[in-house]
Amino acid sequence: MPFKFFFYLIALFVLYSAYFVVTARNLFRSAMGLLAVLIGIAGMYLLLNAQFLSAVQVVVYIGGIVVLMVFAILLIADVTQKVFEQSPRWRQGLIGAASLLWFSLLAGSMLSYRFGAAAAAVDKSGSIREIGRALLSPAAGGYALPFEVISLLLIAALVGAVTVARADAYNDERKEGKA
Amino acid sequence: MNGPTLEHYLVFSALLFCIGLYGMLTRRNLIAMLMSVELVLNAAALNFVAFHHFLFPGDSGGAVFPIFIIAVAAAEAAVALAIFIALFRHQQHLDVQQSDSLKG
Amino acid sequence: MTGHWFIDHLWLVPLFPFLGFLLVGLVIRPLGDRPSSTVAILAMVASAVVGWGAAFQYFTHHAGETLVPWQYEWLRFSPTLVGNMGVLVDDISMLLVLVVTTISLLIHVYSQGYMRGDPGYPRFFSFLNLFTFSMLGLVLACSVLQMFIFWELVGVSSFLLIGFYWAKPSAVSACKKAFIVTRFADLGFLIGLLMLSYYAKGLDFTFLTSPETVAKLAQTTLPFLGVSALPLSAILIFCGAAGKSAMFPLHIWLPDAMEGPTPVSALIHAATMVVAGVYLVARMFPMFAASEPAILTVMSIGAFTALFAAVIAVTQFDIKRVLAYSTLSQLGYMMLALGVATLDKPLGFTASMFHLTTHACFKALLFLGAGSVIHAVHTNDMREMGGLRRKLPITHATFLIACLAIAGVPPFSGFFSKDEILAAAVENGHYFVFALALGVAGLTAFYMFRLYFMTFWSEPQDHEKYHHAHESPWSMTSVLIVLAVPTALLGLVPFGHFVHRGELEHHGINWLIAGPAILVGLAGIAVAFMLYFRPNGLPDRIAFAFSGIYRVIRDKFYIDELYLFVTHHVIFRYVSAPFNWFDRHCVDGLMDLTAQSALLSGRSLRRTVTGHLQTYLLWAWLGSAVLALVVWQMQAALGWALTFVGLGIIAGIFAWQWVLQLLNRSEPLKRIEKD
Repeated sequence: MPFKFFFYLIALFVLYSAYFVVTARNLFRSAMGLLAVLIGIAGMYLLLNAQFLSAVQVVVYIGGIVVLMVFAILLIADVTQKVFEQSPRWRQGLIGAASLLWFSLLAGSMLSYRFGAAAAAVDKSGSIREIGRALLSPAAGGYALPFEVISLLLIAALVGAVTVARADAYNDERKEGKA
Repeated sequence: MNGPTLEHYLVFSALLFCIGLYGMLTRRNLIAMLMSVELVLNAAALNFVAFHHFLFPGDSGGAVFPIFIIAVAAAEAAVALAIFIALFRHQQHLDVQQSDSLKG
Repeated sequence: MTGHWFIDHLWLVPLFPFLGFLLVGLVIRPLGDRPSSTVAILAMVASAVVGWGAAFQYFTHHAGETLVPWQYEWLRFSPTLVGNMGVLVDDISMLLVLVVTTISLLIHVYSQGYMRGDPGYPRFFSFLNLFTFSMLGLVLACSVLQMFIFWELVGVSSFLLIGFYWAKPSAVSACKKAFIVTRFADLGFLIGLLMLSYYAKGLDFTFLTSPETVAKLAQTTLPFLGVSALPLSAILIFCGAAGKSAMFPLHIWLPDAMEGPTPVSALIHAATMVVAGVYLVARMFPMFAASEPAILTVMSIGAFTALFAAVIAVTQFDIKRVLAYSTLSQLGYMMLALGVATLDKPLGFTASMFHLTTHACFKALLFLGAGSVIHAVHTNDMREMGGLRRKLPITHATFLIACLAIAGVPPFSGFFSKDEILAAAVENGHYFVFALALGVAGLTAFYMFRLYFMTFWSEPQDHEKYHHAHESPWSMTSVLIVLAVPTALLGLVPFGHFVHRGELEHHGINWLIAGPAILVGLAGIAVAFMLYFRPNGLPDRIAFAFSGIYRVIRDKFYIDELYLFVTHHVIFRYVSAPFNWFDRHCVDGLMDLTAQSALLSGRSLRRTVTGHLQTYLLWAWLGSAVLALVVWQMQAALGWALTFVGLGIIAGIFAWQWVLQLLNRSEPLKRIEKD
């Protein structure tokens, strides 16, 4: 019972925050909404007995990505400006209806499908030790290669982000050099 | 079993996904669209964990994949935000519905 | 291999002019006029030496035999049907080699003087060499396929030489006319060739003319007409021969071909190429002789052409046109001679070949003499000449010899060959043909001496031209003199001894036949003398008295107009126009339709490319929705339905565009340019 209660509580919190993310007129506020959603999802992970993921969610997502976004918002947008341009009403209505339809399709298909019973439960499932072994194991069932690829991707993203963000400065230098 | 079932999580993540989709299609600001994408990604990651927990607890894939998703989201956010900054310097706004220089 | 060097190396005969053609055309042409003509003439000398040597060896050692000293398998259509290239040596091919190499060599020499100063001088000589190569290849052909190839090659070189003055519109239309008419006739040849290869299963002349093959062909009935394959294929092949030899319904190209330089007229359109048709019929003689309808066709068309052309020649004033119609008439004579020959009484065959040879000499001489006259007075119109005998003594003397020869006055060569033709007609009981040929002989004498008197006697009509006239250079007159010798004496050669089919009993001159022929010839000369020796008004008065019929004859019986009417008003209007419509609207329409639908689909699809990020997202979402629907529930049925709807839309666009195209409502190309 308490689990179910917690689930509904978190679900409501997350959904409300998500709604806030997609409708708030102030960008900064919607970033705060995203923060709340991510915290809620971290709670969900706890409910699903995935403590390590929950911690990663909080540390990387909230501590890294959301903070990055807040920085970007502060750099780009005037947060004091309350009203951002919104899509026309008919568009919101149309896409809202389509999204609802889509949700009903998804939910209907999921609920009508009979999932098999769980395989034998393993106590330590989702433990840090197990995840660590899986991530670094080169054997079958291990994820050493995707892990390395992800590290490469992160490096590339880092370099790329820096390059793109300072592209103008580079162009300015070149213009000066020419002139 | 009085805890929430797999279906609870699936329906919840579907709803979250659709909210993210709605945001992607209606927000006019690029950063707001990016945040909607984060919602969609989280819905997907939650599905992984839910399936792992309820159906395949022996298989570590369900626990590892959300980590990859988070890593990809981080990379994507870094690059996207860098692009947004460059774009903002270029055209002084981030309104997707005003940018149509690739119109055919 | 015969052990005789010249016969074994007979393939050199066409090879020399071919090398000359390549050398002069590709290498020597920029070096100037003199090296070009020298190389061309040297090639012809070499060719003539080998040709004469081979002919000598043949007639002394192998007379009457048929040899194939060299042969090469060129195409193997099927295990039984093989197209060979090679050299066929028998009496008529050796005869033609003699004629072609000799006349061609002489005309090369003559052209050196005649074409001097012409800007296309080297080109002219390379074309002459090309023609000689093709003609010799045709003469020596060992298979009907090889004959056909060289047949087309002489057609091409004739085309090139008629259109030699390509800046003149009349020359251009003349060469096109010659090419199209002969090409049209060659279609018959080609069909006949295919029929032969299909029914006889062979292409070699030695095989086709063997009695077994002829008998087999005569027994083969065609599946769709119920006639035997022999007469039909023979008549089809005769179609090609009639085109090349300008027989009656296909004769229209030859008078116009006089647009070419005069040496070309002498070589191609009098002495050699136009007799290729006669040669082809002679080559296939056993086939023709075995089939009554085929040989009768040859005879009647030959006889009609002989009369028809002689009548027209009487009224013409262009010196070369008179000679052209005379050529037509004489070719008709040769065909007629072949037509009256049978396997039992083959005198006509010998007579035809004999007349071919003598005609080559005296007609070449006549043309070259006319060329010399034209060279002197710079006009073709006989009404502007007159009295030229004092200015052009050598030309005059040789021309007179040639006129006497063609008029059939003994002892000049034409008398003997013509007499043999008349004898052959009588021998085989064709008395009507004999009478007709006799009449033509009289007409021939008349129009030739009309030409002769108007040109060389009478009084100078155009005094300015008369005063500027002068005898041609030595290179031209020497050729005239050389040609005058065989023209005068060739008749004394016992021709039947060399060229014959079957056993020819000794044939002296039958004065019952020769007598009337001589009388008719002399009568023609006498009439011409009365009318044209001195300028008088008599010819005009006669023409006026018969003005109706005179006009018809002068306008060549309106055959050209008939052709124009048929092509323009019948073929163009009722055949070509519908095809044109079909091509424009249906074939082109299909092409335009493709372009239109690409344009249209592009134009409608570009609206989906809005440049807005969220539009693309929407499309992706819709696509995934469709995929999800297909996979999730309705699977195959929905997939097919979607496919059909898509294809239907595309087909609809196509059909609508096609309708627009048919109604000429859209002009896609312009629109593309605008875009």
